[in-house]
Amino acid sequence: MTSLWSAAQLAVFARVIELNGFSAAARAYRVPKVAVSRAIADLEKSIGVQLMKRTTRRIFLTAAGDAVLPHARAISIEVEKVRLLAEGFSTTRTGALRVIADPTYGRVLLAPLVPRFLDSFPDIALDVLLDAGEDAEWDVAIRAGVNEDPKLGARLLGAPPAVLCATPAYLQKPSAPE
Amino acid sequence: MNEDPKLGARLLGAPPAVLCATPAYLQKHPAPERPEGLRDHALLTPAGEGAEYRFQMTKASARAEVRVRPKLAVDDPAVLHSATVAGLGIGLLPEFLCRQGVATAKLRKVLADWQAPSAAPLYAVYPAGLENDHRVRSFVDFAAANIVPALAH
Repeated sequence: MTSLWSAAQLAVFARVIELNGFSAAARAYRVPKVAVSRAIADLEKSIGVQLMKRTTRRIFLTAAGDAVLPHARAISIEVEKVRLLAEGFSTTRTGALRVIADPTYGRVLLAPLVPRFLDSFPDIALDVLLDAGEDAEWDVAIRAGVNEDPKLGARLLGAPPAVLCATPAYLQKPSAPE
Repeated sequence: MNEDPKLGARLLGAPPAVLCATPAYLQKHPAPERPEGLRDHALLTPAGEGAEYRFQMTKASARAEVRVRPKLAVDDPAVLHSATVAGLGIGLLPEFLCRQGVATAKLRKVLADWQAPSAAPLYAVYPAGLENDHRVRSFVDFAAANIVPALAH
């Protein structure tokens, strides 16, 4: 067994199992699928045991994988905490801003907006997804009627009441607060 | 991030909506001249509360409120648009979705001098942790300033 192996590889392992697939994990990390396969292969090589078996349809945990998984999950949570902590200290983030929207609205709303935005903010790159799956990570989502999403609605209860209870008609008036 | 996904939201505004139908539908069922006339039509509306949809329409200082039972109530504007283009009735659609249909005479506006209720309001939603991220803030501010004005007539 090699003594140097990384927590990030364990986090990738936990993510692959959580999302039930290499492709889904790759999308979540925004890396090519081969990078995920490579991380798992390197991890298995380093610790000297196979953690999962893949068929074309499914992923199965081996007994070793099953035993390692809870620890890998704990590590992946810690890794994510470190990433968020570091982000809090960094004043300028780089990387593309990922924007998602429903295809119907997105095409019409974002088509005129995106070129003008890129023109006005040359230092910010955009990554626009109009058919993002449930697992996709994003920075900004454009949505119609937030209340339609029960998960989101529940979380939004802490937001300012004006966001939740004003009617569209009221908000169209010039006197509506910004 | 998956452990505690709190979200923040900014209201962008509500896109204006219009009533429209295909010329073929309107030939069989002449367009209403007043909002009350909507009751005699097959109506395609956003999902309301319960079985009824309340049309609150205004024209200068005149107001009308008509309760109808829509033939189709659906929360997806794309489905609403398809049903309208298929000639199933008079649809209440975000103006930007039927602009092209009206321009190419595939759709005709109904009660065009009355203002229809707006479409569902649009929001920009973001992970609460990114509230102060300059990229997120720049984009959300830009969207708030530009999206809905761009959708207005």
